[in-house]
Amino acid sequence: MDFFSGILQGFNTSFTPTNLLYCFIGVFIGTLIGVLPGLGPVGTISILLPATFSLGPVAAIILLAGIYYGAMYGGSTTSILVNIPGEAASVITCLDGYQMARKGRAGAALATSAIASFIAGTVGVIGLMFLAYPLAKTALKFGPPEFFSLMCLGLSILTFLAHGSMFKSLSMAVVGLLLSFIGIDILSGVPRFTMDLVDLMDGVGLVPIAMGLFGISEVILNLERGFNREVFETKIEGLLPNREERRRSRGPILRGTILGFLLGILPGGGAVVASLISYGVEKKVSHDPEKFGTGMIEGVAGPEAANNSATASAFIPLLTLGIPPNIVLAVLLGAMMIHGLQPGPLLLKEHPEVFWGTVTSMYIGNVFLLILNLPLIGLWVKILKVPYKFLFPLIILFCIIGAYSLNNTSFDILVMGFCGLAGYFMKKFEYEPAPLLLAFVLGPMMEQAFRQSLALSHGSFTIFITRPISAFSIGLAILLVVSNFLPSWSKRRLSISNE
Amino acid sequence: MINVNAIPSFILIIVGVVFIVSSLKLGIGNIGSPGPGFVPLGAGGLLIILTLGTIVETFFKRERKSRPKIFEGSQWWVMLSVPLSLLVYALLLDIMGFIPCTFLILVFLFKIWGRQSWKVVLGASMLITGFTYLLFSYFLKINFPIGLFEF
Repeated sequence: MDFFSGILQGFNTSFTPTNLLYCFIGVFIGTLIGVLPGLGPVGTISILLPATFSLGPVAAIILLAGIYYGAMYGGSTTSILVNIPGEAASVITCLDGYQMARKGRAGAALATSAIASFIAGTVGVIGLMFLAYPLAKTALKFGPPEFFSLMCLGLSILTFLAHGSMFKSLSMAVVGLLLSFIGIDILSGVPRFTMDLVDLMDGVGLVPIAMGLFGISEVILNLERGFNREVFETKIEGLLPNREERRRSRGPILRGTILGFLLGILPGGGAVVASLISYGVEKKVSHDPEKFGTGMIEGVAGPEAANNSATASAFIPLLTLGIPPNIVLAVLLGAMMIHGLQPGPLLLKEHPEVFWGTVTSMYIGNVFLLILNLPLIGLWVKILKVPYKFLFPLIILFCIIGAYSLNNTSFDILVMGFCGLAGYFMKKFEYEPAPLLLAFVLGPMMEQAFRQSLALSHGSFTIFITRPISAFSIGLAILLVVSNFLPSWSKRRLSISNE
Repeated sequence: MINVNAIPSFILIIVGVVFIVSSLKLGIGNIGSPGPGFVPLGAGGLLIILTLGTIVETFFKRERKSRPKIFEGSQWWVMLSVPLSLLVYALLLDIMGFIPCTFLILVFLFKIWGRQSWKVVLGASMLITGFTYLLFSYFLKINFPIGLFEF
């Protein structure tokens, strides 16, 4: 199938009434959880995954992908109105967005954020479409050593960008790998580390781990902190930014879109890093850098464009190489595999309807999001005012249902509870859960690629450095890890992660 | 003053050792044909090395925080109430079924944390239980254990 007939097929697929409905539901839920602090896209995709079993794979992936990019839109609403980011990628929007709200420009900030997100999201999808196709074709030539090295690179970038100690981040990645080895070995059929428990024969579930580490642990921490959350009381009027604000937003949106797109492709990069760097760039190019943090529209437009563009381009490594560049897409990868799809170069060949259907649905999803975010802003503000003491029992209940319904076993609820407690302690002791989850998802693929590579080379490790792409990826991965131990690089890394 | 990383490091080293021992039992094969224990053995060893690295790093950077500081403001019963309620829920789910278990956990969470009147607690718990059962069981076709309602 050539490029243009692929796009046509994609639009045919995504424009069916069922898929339009699921796209709408996905972005609606995404916006909702983006608005509500405490339940991110990782938890939501995990919870809703079992509910998609009755759907076809295209509808399921369209819905789950919609949750992901929808959350990026919704996350900025809380940043602007409550000064609490609904999503990690909207952290930086708090700085100027909230100050704009305090100055009575909440409407303009919300509208700029939505418009920037729409433009960047759409441009990102166009880029995704044009780049994914040739990359998937090229990736068909990749062998196990290339895949292994690329996955190592993804993990090392994620650990490099994680907060605090690199040793701790790498330890968490290794714990994720070890957990992924539990269950029957794919190559030999031998049960490993199952402690003779039948429930562990198929391995530990991704959903209970994800919801424990990111959902339950967050609930415990929020309960500990108390329920204080106040929505800034302001009348949201004058939704459209004025001429001056529109003029000042153009450059940041353009720069944010390009920057976000490039950073989103990088394994381990993604929306959070893109929004932070975009803010830094806007501050650097601005004539009034000292005014940043006091309600500059550039500080909203740039990062919001960057995180949405990165969200779209993050699908490139997932759909073409089968390598998720961030945690949310790692969970989406798990979802695709449960639906019998193997993301990677063969996806385009074997399931073009899923590939093109998902990509084209993102255009439609962006239009839905613009409609949802601007006229319905009042609704989101009302939802924001729901007290956390009413919200958290629901979050726990949805986590329980999500964990249970995947395999219909209460063992998964126990695993989730244990991971929730472990996640709480990890946050207290400053161990990042993100590398653990990404490594857990990549673990089986990494191990298989590693063992196949060694079998191919008759036991020679040089196979990883004699192939150019593999050598480049593994070299870069090693450089990133080693650079942390050089004092100047270590300081730079800390400043990036602390920002 | 207790090194803040001592406890997690100790646990991680134990995990590493357990995986190494189990991997050796599984069989590691050889480099040309790695066995099921080959990669886990390496990963277990790597975990120990990285954990030792964390200990050394903490020692050199002198970032020793006392344990009480990390858990300053922590309430142990808060921390334990959620996982414990999940444990009880998981143990009772197959016996009692989805509806009574969900109702009870919601009553517990609303009453303990929401500090609402019994009327609100019981009403909200009943409504949410009914709504989630309808949504997930009837519309999304998820099979929940029937338990006590099996007649």
